[in-house]
Amino acid sequence: MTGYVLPFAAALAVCLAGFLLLDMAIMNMQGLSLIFRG
Amino acid sequence: MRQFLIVVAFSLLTIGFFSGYSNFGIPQIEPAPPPKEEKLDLGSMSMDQFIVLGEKIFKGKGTCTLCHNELGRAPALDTLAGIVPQRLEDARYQGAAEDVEQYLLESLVEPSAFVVAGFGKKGTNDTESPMPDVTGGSIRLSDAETAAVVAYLQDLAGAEVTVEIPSDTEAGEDSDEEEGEPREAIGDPKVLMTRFTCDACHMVQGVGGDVGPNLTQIGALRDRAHLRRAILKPNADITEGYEPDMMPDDLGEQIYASELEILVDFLAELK
Amino acid sequence: MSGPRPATFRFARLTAGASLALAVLALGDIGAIAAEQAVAAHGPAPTLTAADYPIIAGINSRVAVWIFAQLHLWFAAFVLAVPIFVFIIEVIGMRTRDKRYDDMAYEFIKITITAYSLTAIQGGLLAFSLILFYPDLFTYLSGIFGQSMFYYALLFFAESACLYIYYYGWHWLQGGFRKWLHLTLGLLLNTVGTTLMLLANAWLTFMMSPAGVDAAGVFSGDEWAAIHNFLWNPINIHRFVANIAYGGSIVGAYAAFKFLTATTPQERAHYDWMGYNANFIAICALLPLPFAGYYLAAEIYAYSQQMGITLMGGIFAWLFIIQAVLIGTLFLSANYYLWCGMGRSDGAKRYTKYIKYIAIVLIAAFLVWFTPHTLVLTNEELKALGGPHHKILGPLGIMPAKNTAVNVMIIFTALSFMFYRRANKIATVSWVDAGNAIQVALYTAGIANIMFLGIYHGYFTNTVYKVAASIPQVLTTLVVIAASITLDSIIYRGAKEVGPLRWGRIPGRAQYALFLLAVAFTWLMGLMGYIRSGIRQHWHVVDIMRDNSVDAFTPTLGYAANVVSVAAIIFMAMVIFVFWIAQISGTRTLPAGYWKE
Repeated sequence: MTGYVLPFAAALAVCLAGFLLLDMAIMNMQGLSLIFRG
Repeated sequence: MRQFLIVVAFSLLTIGFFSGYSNFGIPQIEPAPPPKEEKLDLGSMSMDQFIVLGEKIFKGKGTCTLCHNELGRAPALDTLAGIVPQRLEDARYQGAAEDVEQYLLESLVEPSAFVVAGFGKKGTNDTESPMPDVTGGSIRLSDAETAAVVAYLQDLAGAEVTVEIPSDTEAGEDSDEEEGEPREAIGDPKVLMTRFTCDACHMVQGVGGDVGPNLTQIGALRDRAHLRRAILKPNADITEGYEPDMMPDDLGEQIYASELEILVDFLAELK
Repeated sequence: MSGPRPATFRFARLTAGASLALAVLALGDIGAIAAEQAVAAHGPAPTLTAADYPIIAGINSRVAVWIFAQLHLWFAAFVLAVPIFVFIIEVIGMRTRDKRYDDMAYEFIKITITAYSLTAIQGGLLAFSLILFYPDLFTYLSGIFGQSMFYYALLFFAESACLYIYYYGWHWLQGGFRKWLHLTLGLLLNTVGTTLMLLANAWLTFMMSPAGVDAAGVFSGDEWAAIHNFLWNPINIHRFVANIAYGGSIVGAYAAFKFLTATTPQERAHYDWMGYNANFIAICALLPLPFAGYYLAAEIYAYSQQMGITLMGGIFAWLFIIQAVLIGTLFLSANYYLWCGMGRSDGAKRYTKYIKYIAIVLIAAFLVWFTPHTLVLTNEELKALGGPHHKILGPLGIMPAKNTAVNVMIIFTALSFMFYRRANKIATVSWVDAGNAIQVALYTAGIANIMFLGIYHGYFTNTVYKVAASIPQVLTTLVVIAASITLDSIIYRGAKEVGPLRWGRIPGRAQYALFLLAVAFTWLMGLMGYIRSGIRQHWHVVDIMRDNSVDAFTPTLGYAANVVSVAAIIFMAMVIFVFWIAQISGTRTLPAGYWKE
């Protein structure tokens, strides 16, 4: 079980963080922030 | 062979489905016919072409159909030229026209000369028209364009077209160089709103139209940045329930910076 | 059998380089000569009246040119696509030294050989019909593109030479240096074919986004500027990728039919394998295709906002709902074929339980994908609905929802494919559980990110953010696909096979998925061809040369769909002819007693 859950949780965290960084980078390249400011 | 026929039948069925869906599952909108080509060179234009130019302006730059349409915001114009004589006799007529052509021209530049019953600005008892002067504000038709619209209206009602095609060749184009002196900046927000015909579409304190959002309490609903953006780039934020591409998007090129700030200040205070 | 000697490597590379250089020179020459052409006087675009359009034998000129153009395009797409994947398959064969690949590559070329002459015939018909029915337009365009049209015609010599040596010399140019020479010919064939497409694309994109001419249509003399107009590259990219997907689907249909009519298990296995490869090619190209299409539409919008709005918000908007239905069909068919194909492996049972979830997601995404936003309603309907949009479903019709849906469809298709690949493998690495966990995490994170971008930016921000958020969505999809493929290849390094794949063990109904793929693809291309041409509306060359013929009006959607359907049926008949010719060329009849002893 731990052979699965731990890697899953770790990978999920890493992937989510990675994608968030990707989002921020791409939005910034277009001159925008990730979160919309009125 | 049998397998071949099954495959052919399957393919024909599939094509039939796509075709059927396109014919019966999708609303069949008849696209507008190609616009008649009009020459911009007035010198060699025929009257027919001039009328077509008038129609194009009526439906385009003049923004007339914004209000003069089946939704009934403004009086129908398809028989107007024919009933001008009655108008001229009407007791409420306040203008100076003497014939159809003069009346039509007057109604474009001084709409309040005669206000059709029920169509006046609220609270004015049908003495003031919500229609702007088409040669000013954000419409700014030239003399030639106005003449073309008059010709179109005469033709629309089946009346005799009496307009003369002007020799001025600036019809159909915006000429930025027509004004010699820059105009004086306006300091009063209410005057600004009349000058730029905001009340043709927006209601403020009970007066105005309903094509665009009611601005009576707009200061409580929107912040200054939004208001500024709404004036300069109307399509950036479309309020729920209203259509894009209705408000002129070139106000930013006509309004002075000081006037913009006065207007935004005024709107921000409307709570 | 020893490998090729070093000297031949160098020679082969030299030849390949030389052939590429030749093609580049051809294009470059146009630019050089075009500059000299500036000396010739060019007039403005002519103003035409209805009388300037010849009427011949009561034929409707617009429909004639439309059908000829569409037939030409279908065939051209096909004959451009086949050499691309034949080249790749030949390379795979050379690398793995598995002759089955070489044989399959040869078979692909063989069954399509007749298509080349049909493409040329259609092209000739198109050119003639343009000259006959739209002489002034053709005169105007050839005044600008004369050079490139001339090169275009000359290139057909090169195309034919390459094709015939490539095809007829297939069994002659075998082994060692000869194989490299053969491969180079394949590369040359592709280069010439692609150049032909690029040239033709220039002419039609010029009509949409003219360049190198002034507002009155007077040509500046710079043909390269006219070729390199705003929409040229977006169309080039979109067509290149779409052609590959299309070619795969047509060949897949061929394989499907041969499978259903196979008489021996070996035949059935062979055509099953062929169908799988064709579907694989189609899916590979299908995955990036929505992005290429989105890019094209975005560039149209950037070029002319009016054209863009007419395209997606005006009278052509409903057309894209039909497109959505077709694309959904393509994705569902391709996936269905993959799922049925999993039965070839005994190990597939481990994954079959997940299929229904993928199917549910795909169908849900499809439904979102084709939900319209603004509905065309009468006044009564408007009042009843309370607005031009449905309160609940309307929000699903906006672009962010559609982008989310299509990205989900693409990811789940990649997932189907991953299951298919895994079905026959047993991983031998020690960390397989962790590896699988990472895969699940990757997909979960990717999908969550796509949903976040779609929902948050789609409904809680403004237009600028909505559009901008589609880029990270696309990149997320691409990252998930690339990373999961890479990871899987590592997890399954040295993996054991469950058993040999049982080619031929696939239900007959799966072949209909391949037919559906081919027919839907064909019809979709016809529809898109109509949009591309129709978006010009009453212009021959947008804003420069008016279309004043009696057919200048934009027809209703139903009418356009009917023309596309008729053309599609004609095309299918011709394709059947092409495959039939391949069939009979290998048939021998032994007439008893006919020949003298």
